[in-house]
Order: sequence, then C-alpha cells, then structure tokens
Amino acid sequence: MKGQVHTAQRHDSALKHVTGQALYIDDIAEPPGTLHAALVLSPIASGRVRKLDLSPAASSPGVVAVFAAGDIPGLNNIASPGKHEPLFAEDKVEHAGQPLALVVAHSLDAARAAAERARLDIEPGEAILDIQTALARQAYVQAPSTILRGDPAAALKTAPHKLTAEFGVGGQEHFYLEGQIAFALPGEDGDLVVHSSTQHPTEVQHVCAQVLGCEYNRVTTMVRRLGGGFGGKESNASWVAAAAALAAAKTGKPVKLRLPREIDIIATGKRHGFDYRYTVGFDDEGRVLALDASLAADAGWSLDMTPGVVARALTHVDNAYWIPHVRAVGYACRTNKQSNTAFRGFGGPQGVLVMEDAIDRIARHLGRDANDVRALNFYGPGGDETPYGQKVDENHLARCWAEVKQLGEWERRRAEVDAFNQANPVLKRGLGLFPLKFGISFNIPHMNQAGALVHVYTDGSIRLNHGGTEMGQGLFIKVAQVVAEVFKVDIDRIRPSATSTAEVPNTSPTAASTGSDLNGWAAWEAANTIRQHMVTFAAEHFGVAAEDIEFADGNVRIAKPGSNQVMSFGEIAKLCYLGRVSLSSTGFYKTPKVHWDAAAMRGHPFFYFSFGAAMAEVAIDTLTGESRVLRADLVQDCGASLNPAIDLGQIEGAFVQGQGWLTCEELWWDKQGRLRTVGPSTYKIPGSRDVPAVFNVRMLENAPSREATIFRSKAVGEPPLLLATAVWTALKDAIGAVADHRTAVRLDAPATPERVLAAIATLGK
Amino acid sequence: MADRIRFVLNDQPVELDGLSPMTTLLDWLRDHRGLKGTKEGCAEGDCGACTVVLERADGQREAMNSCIALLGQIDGQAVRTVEGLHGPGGGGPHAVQVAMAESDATQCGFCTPGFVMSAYAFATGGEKAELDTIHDALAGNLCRCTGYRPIVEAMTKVAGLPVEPAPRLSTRAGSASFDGSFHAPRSLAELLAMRARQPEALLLAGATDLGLLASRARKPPAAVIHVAHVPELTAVRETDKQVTIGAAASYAQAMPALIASYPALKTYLARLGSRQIRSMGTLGGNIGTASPIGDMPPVLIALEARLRLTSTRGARELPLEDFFLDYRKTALAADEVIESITVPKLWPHEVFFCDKLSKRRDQDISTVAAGYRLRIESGRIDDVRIAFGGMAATPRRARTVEAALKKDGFAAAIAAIETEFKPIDDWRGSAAYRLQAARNLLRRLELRVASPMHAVDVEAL
Repeated sequence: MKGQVHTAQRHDSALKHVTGQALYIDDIAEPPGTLHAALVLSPIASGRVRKLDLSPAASSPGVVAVFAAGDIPGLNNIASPGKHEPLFAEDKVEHAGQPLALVVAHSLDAARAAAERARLDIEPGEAILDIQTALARQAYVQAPSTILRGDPAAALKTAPHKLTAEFGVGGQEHFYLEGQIAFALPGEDGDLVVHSSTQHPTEVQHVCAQVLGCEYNRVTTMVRRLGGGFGGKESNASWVAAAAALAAAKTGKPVKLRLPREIDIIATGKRHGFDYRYTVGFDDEGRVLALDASLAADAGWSLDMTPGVVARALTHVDNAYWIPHVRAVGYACRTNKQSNTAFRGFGGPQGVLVMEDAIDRIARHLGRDANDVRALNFYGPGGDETPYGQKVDENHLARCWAEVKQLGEWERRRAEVDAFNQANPVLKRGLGLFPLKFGISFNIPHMNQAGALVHVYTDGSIRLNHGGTEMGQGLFIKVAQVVAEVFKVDIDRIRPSATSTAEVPNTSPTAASTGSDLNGWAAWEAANTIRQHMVTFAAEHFGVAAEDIEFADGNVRIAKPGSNQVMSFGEIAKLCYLGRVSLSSTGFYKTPKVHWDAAAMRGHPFFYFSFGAAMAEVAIDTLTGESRVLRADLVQDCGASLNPAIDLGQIEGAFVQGQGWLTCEELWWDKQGRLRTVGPSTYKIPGSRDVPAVFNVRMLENAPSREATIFRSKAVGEPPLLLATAVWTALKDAIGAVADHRTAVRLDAPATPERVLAAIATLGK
Repeated sequence: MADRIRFVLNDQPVELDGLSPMTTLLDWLRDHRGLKGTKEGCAEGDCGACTVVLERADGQREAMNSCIALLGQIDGQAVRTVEGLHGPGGGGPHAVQVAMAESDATQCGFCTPGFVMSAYAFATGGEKAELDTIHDALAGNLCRCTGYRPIVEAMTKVAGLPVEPAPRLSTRAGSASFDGSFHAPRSLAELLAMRARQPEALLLAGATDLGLLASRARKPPAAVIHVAHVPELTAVRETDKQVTIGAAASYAQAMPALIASYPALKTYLARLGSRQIRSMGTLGGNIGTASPIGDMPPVLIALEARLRLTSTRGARELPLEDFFLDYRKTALAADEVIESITVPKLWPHEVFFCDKLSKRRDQDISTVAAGYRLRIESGRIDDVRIAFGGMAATPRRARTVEAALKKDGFAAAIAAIETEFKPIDDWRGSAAYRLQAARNLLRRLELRVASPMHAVDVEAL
C-alpha cells in the first residue's frame, strides 16, 4: 500500500509544478468577453477626499465601467458587520495605497492606464507613521489588552536584580510569488463563482455577499491552489475578491482583478512591526522572578486581525519560561499605514523576542552563560503554568534543548567561535540558541472546526474535498494520506479537489498551523463513516461479523469460517452501490478542550503545544555591518509526523522566512508615509545563498502527540519560523564580541548591515 | 519597412504579425501563445518566475527574464520555455524536472517553472555541482516556500547533463525594423544614421532597465534603436595594455576578459544582478542609464576607463568620470552612441579592489559601491584613484579623499569622506550609514593593503 500516514510522500502537484501544468487563477482559460480590473489608490497617507473624479478614467480607451464606494449595492465594508473597513475609501483616506475605486476595461493595460487618469483631490491631513507617535497619542485600533499573573510590581520591587530595556522589530511583507488575484464569473440570477487565491474561501464568500447585498448562497468561492499565502491571503484576499465580484455583478461579465506586485505590496497588510519596553526582575542565579512588558504593535489603519495577533504575542511572551509574576500589555497602535494582518506565526514570533532579549541581558548582567540561564528558567515541575492559566503539558523543552546542543556540537563550537573572535579584529562570529514553545489552535475557540466531503465511486476511486486550502504546504497530500489510511488503499486512488464553499461550507481559514489537524480529522470522520457503511453492508451481505471485514492493501477481506474471500476496494464499492448503500459522507471535527476568555485573557486557548530548539552561527563584518548565517541546527517537534518529507520542507522554509524577517527584509516608508520597498528589487527576501551553508534539521523522534491529534501528528506550519530567533540572538552574540561581551547589545530587527553597524557603534558608549 | 519578428520557440519557428514589438515576451507567451507555465511574479526582472532560456547558435543556454524582454529583441533568437522541456525521446518530464520533483523542491509551485529553466541552463552548460556555482545559477530566482535547500539538492543532481545540440536559428543578415518603432540595425554605420535621424528613440541594449517601462510601468517606449546586433558594439577586444568592451556586449560576454585583468571583479560581477540579468544587460546600458547606484561606473572610474562616443560626425574619447554630469544627465550628445568602453590594464605595482554593500548579498542594488586603484611602491602609496557609487547624484571620483590619502594617509582620507560626499537617506540606507560605511570601507582598504593575507571581508567566511 502506497501513501500511508507517517511516510514521506511527495507533494501531490510536484510533477505539475515542474512541468508548468499546475494551474493558478491567472492561468484559468478566460471566457470571451472577460474584463480586467485595476485599482485607483490613494497616494496620500491621511486626508479628506474633496473630490474623486473618475470621468477621465471612464472615458479612457477600452474602459467599460468605473466603480467607487457609491456604486456598492450592499455594504461598503470588508470586515464583519459592526466594524468599519471600507472596500473603497469614502470621505477620508487612511493610508497611502488605500483603494478608492476600480476601473474595468477590455484589457489589463487599458484598465491600468485608465486607473492612472482618475483625478484625486485629497486634502492632506496629519498622519501617524510610527508606533511611538501612536503610543504618545493613545491612538489605538482596540483598547490595550493585558495578561496578568501575580503581583509583578511588588515582585520587581523585591527582586535582587532588575533591568529595563527597549527594542523594536519591523514588519514583513509576505511576498507570496503569486500576487493577489480573483476572477469572478457571473451566472444566472445573480449567482457568482469567484476563483480567489485565498486562504479563507468562506470569508471571500461572506465579504462578496456583504458587498453585493445578497445571500451567501449566491456566491461560490473556489480555489485549487495558491501560489503562496503565509497569512497574506487570509483577510486580504477577501477585498480583492469583493472588488472583482462587484464589477462582475455590475457588468454581467467575467472580471479578473490581479494586483501587480507594486500595487499588491502597497495596498495589502503585512506582519506587524512591534516596539517593546520591559522590566525584568531576577535572582543571583538568573532565575526570572517577574516581568513587566509592553508590546506595541503597528496595527496600521484598521483593525483587521490585529486583536488576534496581539493576543498571540501576549500568550507567547513567556515562550519557554516559567515567570511567576507577569504583566504583559499589548497595544494595537493605529497608524496611517497598511492594515497589518496575519503572517505565519501571527504575533507569536514577535512575542517570544521579549524573553530572549531579557535573558541575554540577565546573563550579561550576572556574567553567566545565557544558555544556562535559558535552561534554568524552562517550564518544568513546580513551574508549569502559563501566565494565561494553561498548563504546559507534554513538555519537550529539555529534550529539544539537549538534542540541539548535541546536534550543533555546542561545547566545541562555542570554544571555536570564541577563539575565532580572539584572533580576528574585523570579523566576528556569534552563536545563538533558542528554545521554542508554540501554542496550536486558533485563539478564537469557535474557529477550531472543520468539514470534509468524501465520495467513493463504484470503481473504487475516491474524491476528497475539505475546507482547507492548498498553498504549497502539502495539506492536500497529508489529508489524502489520512483517507488512504482509513480505506487502506493506495493514495493514487484519492483525488483531492479544489476547495469550494459549495462542497464544504462554513469553513475556517487555513491558518494558525491547523490545516492538517482540523481537516485531517474531518476527512477521517467522513471516510470512516463510509467505511462503516461498507462494513455494515458487507457483514450482512456475507453473513459475517463486522470484525471479520478487514481493509488491507487496497482490498477488503471477508473472513468466514473455512474461506477467506478477498475483494478489491472497487469491487466492494460496486457491491455497496448495488446494495443501495451511501458511498458519500461529510465529516466534521471540532477541536476539544479549547476555551478562552478574551476579556480576562485567561483560559486554555491551545489544544497542545509544539516544541523545538535551534542553534545558529553567524558572522559579521564589524566595518560594514554585513552578516552571514553560517550554520543552523534545528530540532522540531512534529509529533508523529504525517509526512516527514512535507514537514521537513515546512521546517526549512519557515526557518528561512523567519531569518529573512529578522535580517534582510526591511519595509521602508518615506516621510510622507508612502511605502517605497515595493518589489523584489527593493524588498529583499532571502536568496539561495543566504540559507545556512550547514543546515541540519531533525524532527523529534518517538514523540507522538499525547493529545488525540490526527494520527498523533502535530502542526508544523508556523512553529519553525520562530526557530530563526536563534539567528537574531547569534547576531547579538557576534556584536557583543566586539566589546568582549562586557556590554549588553540592543539590536533592532531586521538586522540589516545598517542596524548591525549601529548596534556596534553603541557598544563604546 | 515592414519586417516581421521571427524566432524559434521550443524548436518551432514563429513569425509574428500585427503585434507591437514592445510587447513583452512574457505577455506574448501567456496571453497570445497560451503557454501559461511561465509566470509573472514581479514584472521587474528580479524574482525569476518568468525565467526562460535563450538558446544560442553555439549551443550555449542562458537564462533570461521574459517579463522585461521585448519581442523585438527576440527576433532571430531561439527561446525555450518550461513547456519545451521533455525527457529522452521527447516524452515525459526532462531530467531537471524529475530532479526538482524528486527532491521535494516544490511547494506552492509558482516560482518552480522559473527555477526549472535556470536549472536547465545550468545543467546543460557543462558546469560542476559546486555550491558557489549553484548559488550563482539560482541568484535570479526567488522562492518563498522551500528555503532553497531542496532546490540546491536538485541542482547538485543535474549538474553536468550532456550539452544539448544547438537549435537551428533563422538568423537575420540585414537590419530590421518592426512596426516602424523598433529598429534593429546590423552595422555601426546603420546605427549611427538611424541615431542621427531619430535622436528621440531610446537606445536599447539588453532591456534590463528599459524593459521595465513595458513590464512594470506598462508604458513601453514609443521608439527604440536596438543596438545588440551591431558587431562593433558587441566585440570584446584585449591588448597587453587594455581591455575594450563593446557597449552592447552582455556582462556574460564581457566578464571573462574583465575578470582576467582585474581579479577583484570576479565576486563583484557575480553580485551584479543575476545570470538572467547578466545574459542580457550590458556595460553600455549600465553607464548610459546614468544611475547613481549603477554597479559598474564606480569601479570603471577607479580603473580610469574611457568611453568611445560615436556619431555620424565621428568618434571621440571621453574619460568615464567626465561622462556623468548630474543626476541621470550625461555628456552623450543626441546623435551619439556609446560604442565601447576601454579599461587600461594594471601596471606593475598597481592593485585594484572593489566593494559593494547591499542588504542581500546576491542580486541586490548597491547601497554603496566603491572601486580603488592604488600604486604601491616599497610600501608607499604614490598614486590612487577612488570612486564611489551611492554617495552622490552620480557615481564619481572621491578626489579630496584621494588627495588626503596620498598626502596624509588613511586617517586623513577617512576624515575627508564627509567633505567629499553628502549622500541621501533612502530605503537602501541612511545618509549616516552611507558615510560611516564609506569611511569603514577605507579602513578595510587599509587592512587589505597592510595585511593582504588577512580575511577582512565577511564573504571570505
């Protein structure tokens, strides 16, 4: 049997990817009469719209129609009702790049040329362009939220040692290679099929219907695959789809809206940048006694998913460490910039930086090894409850830590790096270690549900559908493995099909690393229901007990006294059909145990934790600030991995993406608030040479999830991104070597050559 | 003149009629030819999702970005796309496709056809499976999913595949003109006459810069004179005194001669664009576009390069340092073309170094770039030329720095940076960083001169 769970299986589309046969939305054949759309964007970060004159655009060659806020039949709102996030700005603009209107033309070039002819009369207003200004003015998109345990103020007062520090980290552009795109095709009675490169087909359906003022049942969202998502196509895909849907509904023609790279980058949200300030209290050994931390997120102009991001940052501020007294306050700062959104890790990567920075400073202060201080503070017996009240179960921290130190040859390399630094005045090397604990589940409990739809046909072939989207992460092959396991058939017999709101409704986004956890179980339920039907029928038909029906190797064996009848899976399917047995089933799953009180910031928000550890070695040039990552050793907990080949790809890819966030990827706005890093020539994601030359990745062995996850596997999408924190820590170590590690290092991220050089410059002072 | 664009696509002859020669190759492939395998990721020649392979008459295969290539440029060429790769006997996937799939080198798959084409050019080019070479071959392709490790693994597997036979090219003997807007002269005389007649037409060499007008801005130039087929402009000549590079020779063509004479350029040129860019881009274009952050001007100024500027009125020589007048303004007359760039070879006792600072090592635009030529006799620096890019509105010599260095040594030279340059803040770096980095690059230079055995460059690690 081919394609069982826990075996390495290639991505189901790999051969189509390499031959160019895999279809993305822009590759779907266009029906005659298809129109193309282009957006009119605000060039100004903040202002009042005095006049929006679209007539020059409307009269441009090839233009069919123009649409602005007033043309929307339903609500001009792309957020859930009650919140206000207009599809097209009305009286005021709140960031440079905000959509004001849509131009629809016979060709893409005609639409884009016409969009540039719109006459915008906007009275510039005052713009808030950074977190500190927003904090000073208390400009927030939601009230500050706080996680509190114990009495941190009192504990800090009595702590033998106390340190206060500040630092900041920038945002991150998703840079999915396939830009945002939607293709809306009108049908009869106002029905609409929307092909959308989205991680959240159901939200696309809802937002399109809300903008059009129709019932949800009129809109079908479909997506076979995304050319990358990373969180950037969770909420942002919805407004792109709604704009296309509006134009399709109004013109009665198929309309495609594909954002050119520059428009995509200036119009859509990114990972939240954060500014931090914290005070940490500790004892003589470096045991953390209390933490009082402020985490201020750059939310951008609107709410979007900022509440969830801030909540996850706050629930990850502890990372791997037991902190008896904690106050962590999250500020969601309103700025006149892109509305920041989900990005792989969803606030978690930003949250964990606080304690990593604090421990480096504690160690420096006490003259101890930072990694001993890390291990000293790990969650463990007597200190195993998170600040929000969830126990740290199935704690693999110590094991991951020991394994990564062994894998990375910590003792030897620490000595080598120190010797190198003694011998080299210009180049310095640094080592960084990072322990990981990451909570798995949506912080919003009701989102932890999924549906699937499985059909078995009379030739024994199987069609699989579920609410999860395939964006490269290998979800379709993993869920297919689950179904193959239920029926004990070759995976080739299972045909994964495009995600569609018409097949599985009311789905959650494919996000928060939960794709295979949720959809795997839902598909298992669906397949198992069919299998039960088959067993019941076969037992009766052959006059045996249900236990005597055995599925194995693509066959079904009927164990009767004196005979062992074997039928192929197709034969039993045909027999079931003739016996009038349903061979189709939905499946439904909801994650057990999760609950969360968002007001009190307490509960059990995560079904389980994922663990890991990383070691990174870097080199810096102290004259130019240039750096390289020389080596990385990673240990990642995947439970009993459903598919080690896919999970390896997730770990490596996430690490490199995290490395990019913390090193070379810099978003840069000019003084007018216009983002100027708008394409790969100005916004630098890692290239192949930036990947550590030595890159060792291990999955934690013999560590099946203790919770009842699908075949005891664990989520893998986001946790390994955080492992790149080791690179940041290593850079601080290398910088610290300039002053012989006597001084603590402040290193804001991304650690571009400029920031590394600036950090070195502060050491002398 | 109503010539038609003719080329070979995946072994099949193609002749175009009624299409603008300013149409990008990518748009034609996808929208007109219906070949959807080649993707648009950025439309600025940077992400590599649109990579196709140019098949030269000598069998050489070069990756190029189809998004910024104009159809007029493709006339007389042979192009292969991902749909044109096949296994032995024409069936099934090609070995590079198999290797990519079997190495788990695809995730979302959107960048994959571009990687496959870069891998194809690499695998059939007789190169070895060395990491440095593989990274060089991949520098023009971005992947956001895999972290590249499996792609590098696939490249290792396919290195050194048999060199595939050269395609049959329908080469064009004489000049061509497409649509009255795209002129492709085949001789210097024709080029100069055309230039005199149409001074407003843009000179187009590899289109790695001008191509963005068509691809990203969607406003292709009204008229171009394509200089890439003029033999006088593509020749690379060398004497014992100097190297002369035709203005329209691609970097790929010019690199061997340049690196042989100035070894420090090896790493520097490898960091200029990517293979996709270097297969098309030219020295003449890099100079003619007069960007303050072009990579070649600072090093060529330091090397005392001279330009040969030619028109129907005759030819003149101009030191490169006198070519740049102001931001994007040059000394090129409306009827002139840059014919060639001549770089004198180093004399005994002369050494040459260069530096490039950027956020990413490969395929990034310089924050600061610098070239230094020094004559050192018995430990004494008695002549020096230093030029910087990214420090002013034009690339230029740092004369006060040179004077200070000659007179009072490195400390004085470092102090002179601030009087010499008033750089700007932008997304590549603040003015303060540029100044500090320029000062520190002089420290690095001092270390190189003082202790040449010592590694003072992070790339050495």
